[in-house]
Amino acid sequence: MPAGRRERRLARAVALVSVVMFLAATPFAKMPLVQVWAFIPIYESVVVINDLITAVLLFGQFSILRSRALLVLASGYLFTAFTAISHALTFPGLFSPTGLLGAGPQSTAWLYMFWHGGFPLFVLAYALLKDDVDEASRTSTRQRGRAGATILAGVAAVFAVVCGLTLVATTGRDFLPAIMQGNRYSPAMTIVVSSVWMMNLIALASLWRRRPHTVLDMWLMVAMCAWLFDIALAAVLNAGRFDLGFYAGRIYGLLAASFLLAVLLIENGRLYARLAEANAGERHERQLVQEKTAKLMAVNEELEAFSYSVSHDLRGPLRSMDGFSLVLIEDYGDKLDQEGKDALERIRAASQRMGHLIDDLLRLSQVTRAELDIRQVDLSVLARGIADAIDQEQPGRTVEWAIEPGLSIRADPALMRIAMQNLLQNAWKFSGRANRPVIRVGALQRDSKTVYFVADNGVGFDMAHAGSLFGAFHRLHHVDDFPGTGIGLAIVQRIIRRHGGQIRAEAKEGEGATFFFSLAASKGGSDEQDSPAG
Amino acid sequence: MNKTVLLVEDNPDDVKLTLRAFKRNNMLNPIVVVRDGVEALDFLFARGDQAERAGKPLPTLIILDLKLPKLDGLGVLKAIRGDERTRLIPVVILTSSKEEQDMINGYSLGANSYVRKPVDFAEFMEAAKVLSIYWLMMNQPPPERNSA
Repeated sequence: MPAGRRERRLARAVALVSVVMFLAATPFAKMPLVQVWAFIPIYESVVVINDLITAVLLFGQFSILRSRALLVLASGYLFTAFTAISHALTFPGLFSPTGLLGAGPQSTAWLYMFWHGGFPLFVLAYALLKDDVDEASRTSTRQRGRAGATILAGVAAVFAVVCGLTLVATTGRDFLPAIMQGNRYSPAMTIVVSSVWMMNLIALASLWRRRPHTVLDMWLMVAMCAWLFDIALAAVLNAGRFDLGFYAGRIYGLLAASFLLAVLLIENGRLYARLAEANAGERHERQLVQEKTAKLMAVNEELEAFSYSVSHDLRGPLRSMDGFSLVLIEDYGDKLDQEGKDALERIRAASQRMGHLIDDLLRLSQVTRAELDIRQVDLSVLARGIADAIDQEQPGRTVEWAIEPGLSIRADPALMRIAMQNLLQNAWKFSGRANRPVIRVGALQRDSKTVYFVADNGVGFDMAHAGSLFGAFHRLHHVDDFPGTGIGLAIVQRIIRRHGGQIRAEAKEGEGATFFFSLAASKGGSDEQDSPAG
Repeated sequence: MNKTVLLVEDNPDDVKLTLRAFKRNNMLNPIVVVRDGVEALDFLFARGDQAERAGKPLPTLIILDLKLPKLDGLGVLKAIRGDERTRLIPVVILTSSKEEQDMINGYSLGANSYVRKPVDFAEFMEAAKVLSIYWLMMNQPPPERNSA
């Protein structure tokens, strides 16, 4: 995660406090204090545990992000943990008068130098490698299986190095210059510790230079500052063990070990909180969807009950009106004059018309309610079948059907049949007065979308009145001229919309009308399936 | 042998018009009218008010509306098909509904025919004519099995 402004300020503040404390402690660094032997094992245990946990967390991040930089840094923390262990074991007078592992008087001090000189090397490597973090996180998933092996190899290598250094410091102590005289420092110490200190400074500087700084980088820098003060107080400015510098330096060491751990833990906690939040949000959303679905289903059920009742109950009275009007005409016709009979016929006609309106409304609602069964449909074959049926039903008229072959769409076959039936019957109906009626069905490409059309050369209509063309029971012609209830195009529009498509009309009075429609469901179809031939 | 028709219909107008349609088509079979589902089953199974019908012949044809008070048409049909005495009697559903679900349910429960009442009475007359010719004249009814 990149560092935010607040985090940067906090890190700066912590670093500043460290500096102030360091400056305050410096004059008293050589002041001898009580020798608290228990301080050393307690301190070193805490450092070991802190560093081990930090290493584990960093290894964990490595296994996710697969960045070599993180692997190196994790190894660095593991290195300090291991070295701290051998440092504690060899500390003279702690577990045995000279220290364990065959340690001599110089061993512990040298291990301290290895410890504090080794870690900055890891940090330096981290700083040099850290640019590949982003890159690695992008191409990570590929070799997930090998993360465990890599970590294991890293742990083994660190362990081997620490064992080697311990061996050098203990068995090979004679080859190393003496830096301790009892519990106090020798002159050689100054050179050694200065170079260790310089290494830390270089590591810090290289971290500083490799921008942008992540949260991790920033707190690593704070930790490096603390290390610098640790070394300065505990090995440069003080006189030897158990003076104020020694203790204060150790406390800086502890802080250095804790900073990164704290940051990693906080970061983990934050990520977990974010995850929990996302989960809760998702759960809430799912609940909303469920509630909406339930509501929709309830509305749908009501609608179904409503249309059932419309279908059943509204027609009853119409049957009575029509039936008893006929009874009157049949049984009492001799008592009625022509006007009376005409009135009764009008009642009958109106009842029947209303019966058809109700049926149309039901059909409209059925089209809306029907479940879509999307399949590959040959629109050309469908249109041809409807055209043939119209020709057969109405042999009195000759219409030229120009249907483009091979129009393949993805749609619900039953609904598409209803839509095409309405469009073709309309075209047929409104081209009744044309000299040579031609009805064309075809497709064209517009903005990389396939648009289908049904065109006729009939009476057409004035586009000025086309606004509510697709509204239920809306008509642009008189019933006497062209019969119909005006439900057809409303049904067609619903069907096209249910397919995720759009429909519109273009017309000119006396020249014909063209209906264009698109289908969302057909987009994939033409890709996978054969493209329309011809 | 009089072939009785049982008409199960709650709308008095529809009853009147149906009877007229049959009469006009010269269908002379006796027609028994019941006004709800429970009455229909009482008649068929000689229960309740119709207890005295026990042993009398059953109708040759049942004309059944779907939307009925108390017990609806599908419930009546289920009871008819579930009883040994009545399970073979031809049942014609005559209803306003052309909901697909009603048709499917009607046929699933063993209806022999499904006719929708048209609004146009002339059409209805035609339907009644075809119905009576087919089911009362042409169709061979199942043999009576429970004649005591």
